[in-house]
Amino acid sequence: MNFEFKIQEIFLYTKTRLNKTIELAKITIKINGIESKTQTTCLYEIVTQFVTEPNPNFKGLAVAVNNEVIPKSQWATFTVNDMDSVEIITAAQGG
Amino acid sequence: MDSRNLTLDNQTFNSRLILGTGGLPSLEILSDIIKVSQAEIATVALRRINPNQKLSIFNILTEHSIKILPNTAGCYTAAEAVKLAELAKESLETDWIKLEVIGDEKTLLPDPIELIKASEILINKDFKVFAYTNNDLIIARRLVSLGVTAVMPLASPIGSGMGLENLNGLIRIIEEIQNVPVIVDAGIGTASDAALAMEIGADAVLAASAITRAVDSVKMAHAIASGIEAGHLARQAGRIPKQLYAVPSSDPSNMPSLK
Repeated sequence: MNFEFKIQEIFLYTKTRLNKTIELAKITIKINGIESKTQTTCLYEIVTQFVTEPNPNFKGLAVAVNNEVIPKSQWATFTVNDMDSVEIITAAQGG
Repeated sequence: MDSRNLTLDNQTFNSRLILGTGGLPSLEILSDIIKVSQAEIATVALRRINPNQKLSIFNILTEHSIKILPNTAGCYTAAEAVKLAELAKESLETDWIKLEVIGDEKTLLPDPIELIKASEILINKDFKVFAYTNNDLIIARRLVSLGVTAVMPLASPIGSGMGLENLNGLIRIIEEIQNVPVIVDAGIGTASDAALAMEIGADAVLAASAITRAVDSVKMAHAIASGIEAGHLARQAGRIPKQLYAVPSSDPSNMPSLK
């Protein structure tokens, strides 16, 4: 009985800790000047979630994080930190 | 200048019109403007993506095999312009950059000090710099010595439609700068302005607002493209010198007595 209770206690404790870790993973970043919360820190996923129009290979797009250009080839491995500023840009009409 | 084709960065183009896409009433008419003007190069700006925008200027230009010349419009310092140029290179996969570093909001005139600084940095980073500059021979010379791909002196302030405000200044730049293309940029108002720029020997003309803000953009694109071609032909043909007094075109000898 006592042993079983202990196990349950450990399980509950672990679950609470895990939830807290997940909570911590939510970071706040700026995407094109607008603050937003994100659960992923992967730049590739952040861009994919933002650009809803289908665009194979993200042609015509570029991304800068904190004013540094991040090449497309590095998006998948690039980790975004809390309070980072992400700019996603493309061609627009202009003289 | 004597050849029919325009050569920029070792690439040849049939058209000497560079189409500025700023101020288009809608993206839908861009295809018609391209078709009627037969332009092969167009400029674009770089801005934050609108995630819901269906029609993309990048796709339209790519479908028409238009060579894209991204610009750094909106930049007021060399540092901003260099950063935007790097984003342009990454997004549009081109090392061409129309370098605009603006001095103030009211005139949109280039800031020559920042322009020179940015040109130097970008050329060191292997960009092909098309430098939007004031109508100033000394700055143009400095840009050429830095190694720009083209010098783009303005005719008059961007979007003003005032035409060639300082014609002699432009002539001095064109006369002196022979081994780098000179593209007259900004302030073109109508077809005759474009024709005149070509007649004084410009290698090409950039027109944006003159076309995009005309009552009928497609018709004006046709007119300006024709003006450029006519002006280029006239330059090659060699105009007669201007003289203060008349030179009879009909032979005055053997005139019959009619008194």
